[in-house]
Amino acid sequence: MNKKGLLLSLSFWLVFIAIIAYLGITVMQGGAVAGVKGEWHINFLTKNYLEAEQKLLNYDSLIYNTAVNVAWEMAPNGGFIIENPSPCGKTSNGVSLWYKEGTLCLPPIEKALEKTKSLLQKKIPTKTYHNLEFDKTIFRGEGEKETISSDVGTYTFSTSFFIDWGYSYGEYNQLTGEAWQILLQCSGAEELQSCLDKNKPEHWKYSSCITPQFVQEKGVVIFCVESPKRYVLPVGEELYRPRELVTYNLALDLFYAFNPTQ
Amino acid sequence: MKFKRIGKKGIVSINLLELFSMVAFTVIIYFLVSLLLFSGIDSAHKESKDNVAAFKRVDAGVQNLRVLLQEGANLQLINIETTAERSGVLAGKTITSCTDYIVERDCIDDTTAISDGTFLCKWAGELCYAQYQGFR
Repeated sequence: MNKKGLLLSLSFWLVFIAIIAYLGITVMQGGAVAGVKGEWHINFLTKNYLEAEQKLLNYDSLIYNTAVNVAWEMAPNGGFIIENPSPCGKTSNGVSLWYKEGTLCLPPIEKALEKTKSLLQKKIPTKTYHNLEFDKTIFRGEGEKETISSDVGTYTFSTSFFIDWGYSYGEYNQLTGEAWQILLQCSGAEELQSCLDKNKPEHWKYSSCITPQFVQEKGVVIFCVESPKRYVLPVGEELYRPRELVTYNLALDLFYAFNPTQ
Repeated sequence: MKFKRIGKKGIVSINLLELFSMVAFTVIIYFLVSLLLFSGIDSAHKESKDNVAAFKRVDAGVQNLRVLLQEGANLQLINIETTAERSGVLAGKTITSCTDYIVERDCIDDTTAISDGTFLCKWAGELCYAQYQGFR
């Protein structure tokens, strides 16, 4: 081999060894770096979509709790909110009257929506909800759009909600109708208890739903009405809250005869 | 500028040993390159699948919390983000809270380690539930 050949041969082997060394080191370090499929998409979903889902769940939880709290405030108050008590007043033990001395004071159920909306405003001050509506067991509302920005992009989502909370304020319509019937049948009756026993629905209990007992005070009878549709709502402040049957406390003054034309 | 030409002798003067060495090195390079590419692709695939699995796990965790909310749970008492992220997968089912365990042994052992130390999973009446330490 002459000098030129030797030089060529040496250069060739040097390059050869360098390539093998590079490949060997790369393999030892975990192989060639190939692009991870769907990396951007997963990052986008994790940093934006999941973040949004968690936020929405948090909002839904606040909204659900608010609706439940208002329902539990109203039911023992005969359907009245604390700020707007019955115009007929209350009995000596604090039960809201639906009928007193010829005046009918039925609960204004639309107040439930107003109260829920004002509480929501306090609990989620950064959000404003429009067209809030209780439709059967669905509570829904339109929220503004919210945007989440991360290093992989921007995600805009609607904060409108649609929650099936398993309770309907429509139940008050049934209770109102039943109260109306009781007033028509038994107001002014001499044998009040026997009239009520005959005419009140099964889910209307006297005084207490646990230990019903007929008590009247100058014709005023207190009722504990079990939810006719057997609606249950969570009670308490624990994570796993027990759900209890909704019961309504109300009183009717049956001393005076009821005149529906008044 | 003139380039010096390498003579024919320089090019063809390779002995038999060098020829065999070259063939051997070529084979080695071939395997190294193959290994390099396959291991690279394999680790990229693995990372991709791991990323999807992690996303699905947390997403399923959020959906499990939605079910809890539907059952009346007070989610304001927990951190939704960390609870969803602590979700584990057991036999294809995503476990986010104690109530997701359906086997007594898994419940007691907290197989997927969902507890952050504030609660223990307890089995009672064919159901798994969380027993909070201290204040709850």
